[in-house]
Amino acid sequence: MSSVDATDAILAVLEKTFSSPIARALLTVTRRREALEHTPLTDVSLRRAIIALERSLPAYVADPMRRAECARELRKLIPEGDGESPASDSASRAQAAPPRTAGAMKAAPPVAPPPSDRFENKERAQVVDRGLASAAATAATILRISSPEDFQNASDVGRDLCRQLGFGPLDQTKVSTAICELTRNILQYAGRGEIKFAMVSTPRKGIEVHAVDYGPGIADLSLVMSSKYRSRTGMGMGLKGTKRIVDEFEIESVPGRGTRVVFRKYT
Amino acid sequence: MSKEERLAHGMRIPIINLYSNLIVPIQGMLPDFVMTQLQDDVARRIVSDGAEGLIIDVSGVSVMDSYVTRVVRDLALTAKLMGVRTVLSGIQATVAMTLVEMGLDIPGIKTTLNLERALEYLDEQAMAENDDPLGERRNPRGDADVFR
Repeated sequence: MSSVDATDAILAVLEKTFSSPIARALLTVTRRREALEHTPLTDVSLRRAIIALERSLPAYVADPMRRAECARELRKLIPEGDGESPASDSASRAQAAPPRTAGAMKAAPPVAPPPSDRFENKERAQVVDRGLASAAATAATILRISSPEDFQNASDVGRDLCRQLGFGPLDQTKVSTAICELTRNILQYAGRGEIKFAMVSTPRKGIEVHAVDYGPGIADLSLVMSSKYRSRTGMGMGLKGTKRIVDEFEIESVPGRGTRVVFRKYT
Repeated sequence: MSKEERLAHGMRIPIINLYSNLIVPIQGMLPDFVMTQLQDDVARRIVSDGAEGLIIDVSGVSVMDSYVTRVVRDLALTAKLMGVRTVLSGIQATVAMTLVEMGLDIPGIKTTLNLERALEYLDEQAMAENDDPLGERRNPRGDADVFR
C-alpha cells in the first residue's frame, strides 16, 4: 500500500506520452474535476484520479496504441489489492474508441467530406510552409467539444498551458478569451468540434490553438471579419476581436463543410 | 431530464436581494443557456421584488468573451428600461484590458471598482432622489405586470 503522494509518479508516466506542461495541465484539470485538488494522491484518491485520467485519455491521445500504453502504465500506479474491473474495462474501451477523425465525422452531415482531407492537408502544408518541423509543435492535446461542460475544460486546459509556458496574467486572459470565443462558436454553429492545443518553440515560445468543426461553415468570411458585421446572437465581434488579441490568426471555412481557425500567441 | 437541463439546474446564477437592490454575482465561464436563463430571471425578479437597483458583479469572471459582454450589456439595458439603476462592478484588470483590445465596449453603464462601491453608489443615488421632491419618483412597486 502506498501512503506517499503519487503526483510525481503520475506525472512521470504522463510525460512519456505528453510534454511536461501538458502532463501537468492534464493532471491539474483531472484533480479539479474530481475535487481532489487539495488531497494528496494516495490509495483511494489515487485510484479515483487514475480512473478519471484514463477515462479522459481518448480526448487527448488520438492514437489507440499510445493511449493503451499510457493507460497500462497509469494502472500500474494503482495500489495493490484493488479490483481489476475498471482497468480492464477502460482498456477495452480505449481500444474500441474510434480514432479522432472518425469521432468528428459522426457529427458531420451525411454529405460531409471524407475525414476532412482538405483541412489535414492544409495543416501539414502550412506547417511545412512556415518551416516548422513537427518537433517545433512539441506535443498536441486534443479536446473534443460537444457539450457545454467542455467549455470550462477548454478554458482550463488553455490557461494551465499558458501558465506553464510562462505567460503573464494579461496574456493568459487573452488566450483564454480567444479559446472561449472559438469554443462558443463551435457549440453554437456546429454543435461539436475539436480544439487542439500545441506548444510551439519557433520563432518564439508560444501556444498554438486550432479550433475545427464540420458544421455549416461561414458563407462570407470577409463580411464576418469586417467592421460592418453584426451577428444574430452576439456583437459580431467574436472573430474580429479574437484576431486582435492574438499574434497570428488564420481562418478558413467552406460552406457546408466546416470551419478551421488557428491562432498563435507568443510569450 | 436532458443533460442540458440537468446542467442548467446546477448552473443557475443566483440573484440576491439586498436592501431592495438585486445583486447578480456572475462567476466563471458560462455556457449560453445559463446566460439566457439569467436574462429571464433578472427581468422577473426586478418586477416581483420591486427592485430599485441592480448590481451585476463580475469580479469572479476571469474571461469575458463577446457573448458574455453582450449579455451583460443587454441585462443592464433591460433593467434601465424598467426604471432600475444598474451598476456593473468588479471587472478584473486583465479582463478590462482584453475587452478594450478586442474592441468590445459596454456603453452607457455605470461601472465601479467593486461591489462595495456599487452599493455606495446606488445608496447615494437613492438619497439624492429622495432629497429632491420635484425629482422623478418611481413607483416603488413596479407597475409592469408583463412577467407575472
